[in-house]
Amino acid sequence: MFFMKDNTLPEYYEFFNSVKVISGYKALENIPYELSQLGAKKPIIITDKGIVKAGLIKHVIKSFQGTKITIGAVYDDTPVDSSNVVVDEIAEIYRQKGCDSIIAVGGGSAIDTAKGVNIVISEDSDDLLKLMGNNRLTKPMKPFVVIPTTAGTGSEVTMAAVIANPSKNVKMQFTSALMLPKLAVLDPRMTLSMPARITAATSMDALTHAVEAFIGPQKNPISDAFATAAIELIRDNIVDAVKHGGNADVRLAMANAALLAGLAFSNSMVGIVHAAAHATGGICHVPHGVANSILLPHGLDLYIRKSGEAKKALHLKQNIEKVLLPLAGPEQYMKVPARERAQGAVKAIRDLTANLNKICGLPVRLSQAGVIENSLPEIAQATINDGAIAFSPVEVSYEEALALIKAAF
Amino acid sequence: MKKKKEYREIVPSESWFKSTLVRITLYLLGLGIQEACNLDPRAKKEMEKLPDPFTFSIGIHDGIAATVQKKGGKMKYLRVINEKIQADLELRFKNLEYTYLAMTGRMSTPNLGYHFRQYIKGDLARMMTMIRIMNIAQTLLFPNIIVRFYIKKVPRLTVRTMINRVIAYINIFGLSAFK
Repeated sequence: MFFMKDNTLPEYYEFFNSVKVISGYKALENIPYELSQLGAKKPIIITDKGIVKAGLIKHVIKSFQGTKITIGAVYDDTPVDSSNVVVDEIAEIYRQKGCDSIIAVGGGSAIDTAKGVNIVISEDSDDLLKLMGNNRLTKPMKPFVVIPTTAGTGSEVTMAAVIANPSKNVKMQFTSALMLPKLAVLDPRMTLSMPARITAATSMDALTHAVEAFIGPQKNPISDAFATAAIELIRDNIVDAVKHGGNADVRLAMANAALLAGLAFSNSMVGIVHAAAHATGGICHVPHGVANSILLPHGLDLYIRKSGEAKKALHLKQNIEKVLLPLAGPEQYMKVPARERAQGAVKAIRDLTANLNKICGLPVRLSQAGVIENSLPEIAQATINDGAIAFSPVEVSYEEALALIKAAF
Repeated sequence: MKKKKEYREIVPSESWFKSTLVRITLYLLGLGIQEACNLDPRAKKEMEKLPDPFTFSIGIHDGIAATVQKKGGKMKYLRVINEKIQADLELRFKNLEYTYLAMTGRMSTPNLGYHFRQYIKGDLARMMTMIRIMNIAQTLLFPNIIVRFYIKKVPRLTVRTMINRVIAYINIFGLSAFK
């Protein structure tokens, strides 16, 4: 009575996302019009040196030609891990230049930094620490546009950001629906230059978002639609995107896949795989996409083993079986006997990561990604303390988390 | 057509039964958290991870809440109050009805989260610690047959848990008698 009546419709669910999505060729050229509709006249662009060096920022600046919107400043010193120091510095520039809106151009770090700047400006606070955590924000944010240059994080449609505070040695997590951007712009030009290995890792990040969203306890018909669409797009394009990065069609497909997966997981949440990936990244600095790629099959294995412990209404094993359909396609799905489909889904992911390993050297074990054996207990402890574990369909103990990390090592 | 003065404000009525029951269960939960941190080594270990001082509050959005505070290395139940509390970490049910269903074991705490019928204010990692402490507190307060409605996985019943349960009952109801 209190969870799901059957496997297709939850007894109760909520879905929210207010981001306007613009996707396609010359999509950037729409930004000035959209900003004017939001009443903005002077945006600040937040990006990093890599984006400028790759010539991507030129496309963005060029899109403002012939308009009445002035670019207040281009901040291109965003570091790999965004911090409150950088956020405060950018907020100062924003105020000095009289900016009224924010455009983030980049991957997770630039986007999270921009979200942090928006919090500081909109809440008029000088201390991000006070606003850390869930639902602490109260004021409407400034117009905020995100142009992702990687196809993986889905940050352009999510309501969370992680910003480091080096002096206090904490990673501050912010979650609030108020942080959602007003606009996400997917333009194939912005992901064309991404190297093969980063393409593979970020794509696997998107796949993990979609798979975890599809089997999580908050899944619902809307998140399912986004998750399966994302998985199908990834299935059809991931290898081409890694092998032929210059193909704009494939790049646009992957950017859409990452966005769709972002829409799915920002409402249906992620579970044990992300909890372990956050821990691995936090302790051993393994890139998030690489960690997810390695841990995804192991996380699913754990869920299959423990599916008997999950509430019956969660249909955990059946949901993993269903993942095989978008993941392998209908023909392959029909070839696999019903009772073997859950393991079939895990095998399909293992085959994919093995293939990516051959093509571009994407690690398939944590030991190949720079994790040292001594750190495994610390990673396991951080895994069970991670917020994502609350959305695991089964309870995961420290010992089980450690076994998972060891199996992936 | 109605006259303008016929349009009246509707002030929502109180649900005394549900409010009272929720107040009692929040009170028991608050004391349960305190007792779990005193008696159970697993809860004690979890509590040690929290900063000192640290305040946690659980209750209804814009309504009553039970507050516990870690101070000087000890977890102490403060009280159930009907005021805005500035806690370091808050778990809030969005409506009295949801709280009532949760407190009567008719909607599990994980399900409330999955359904967005509750929200968290504060650090999620600390919430994980508090959830583990609350799970232990609930195993102290209630028999396993009831606990399974509240938490994802019911721990194995040990002699130690039984003894702790008895001590907790004595402490809680002993304390209640003198309040």
